[in-house]
Amino acid sequence: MMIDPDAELVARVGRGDRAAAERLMLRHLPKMLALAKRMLSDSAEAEDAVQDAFMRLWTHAGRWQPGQAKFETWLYRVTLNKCFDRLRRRPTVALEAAIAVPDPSPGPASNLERVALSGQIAAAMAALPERQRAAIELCHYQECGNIEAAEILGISVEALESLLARGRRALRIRLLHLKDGQ
Amino acid sequence: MIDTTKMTEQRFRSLVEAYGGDPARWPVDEREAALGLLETSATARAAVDEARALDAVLGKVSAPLVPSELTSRLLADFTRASRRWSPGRLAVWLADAVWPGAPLWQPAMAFGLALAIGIGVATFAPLDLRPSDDTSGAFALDTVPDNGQDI
Repeated sequence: MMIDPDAELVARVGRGDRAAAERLMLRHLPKMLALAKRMLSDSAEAEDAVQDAFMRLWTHAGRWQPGQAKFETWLYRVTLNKCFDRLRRRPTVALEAAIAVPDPSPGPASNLERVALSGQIAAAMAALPERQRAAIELCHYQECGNIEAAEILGISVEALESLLARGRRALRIRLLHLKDGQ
Repeated sequence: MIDTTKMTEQRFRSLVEAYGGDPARWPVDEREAALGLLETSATARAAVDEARALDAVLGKVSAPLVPSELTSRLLADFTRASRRWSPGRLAVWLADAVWPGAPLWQPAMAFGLALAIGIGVATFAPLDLRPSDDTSGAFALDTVPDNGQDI
């Protein structure tokens, strides 16, 4: 039987335990926020999507049935669906905005180059179709296994591999000039 | 369906094109066979080198910081949500009061079982309520005991 490392915390959250809610949030928020930022290419919108996903967690934790699905897989799926909802509501793909997306975290001047590089990678990711972007986000950045990533996206492993291969091919064309640190 | 028992160069290329050059990201059930091929095939090594170049570029992304204002917003949402009553929350609260710490299905199952047994007993148990031929009991209750005295 699958052992879910979050099962106990989720059960406590369902009983209204604030300390458990905080621990669960700190464990998963950085990953969910990174996923939403790369999916949406907009920091404020990503934070709103993640807030929606956690609101769903807070209201559904009491009904969580351990053993049916891994909690993290469920949370990835909810967060990703919140991102897809927002992407579909957009009138156009904000590629120009994506270029300005690099995380504006404060840092020394030596970080500027890294921030600029992040911006180029974010723009290349933003240019991908949303399913390809989600597949690369899950398998490359979130380090999900192929079966878990396919389950999150609701597709077969073969379909996942097809999305990944097409996505990586497009990224290679856009980004390989950066490989020598340019 | 993917055959995971053997690794061809074609499958290896597909695998690397999808998952990149880091074996840690390859499917668990194919990793060993893929690593075996990597040791012997120059074509496989070339494919991995090519994929690793893209992996290295993708790895240069900075991880976003989590703003403290966001964590405060999420916890405020939790406080609001936990104060709100719903049938699901009520069920969890009741279950926890009856059977603390158990998953919801356990008290629900116990309650369902008790209910089923109750209905079963009420439906099938031989409970005969027809009036008996022996009416002495009723008579005895309806009449004043005869103590042998004249009233």
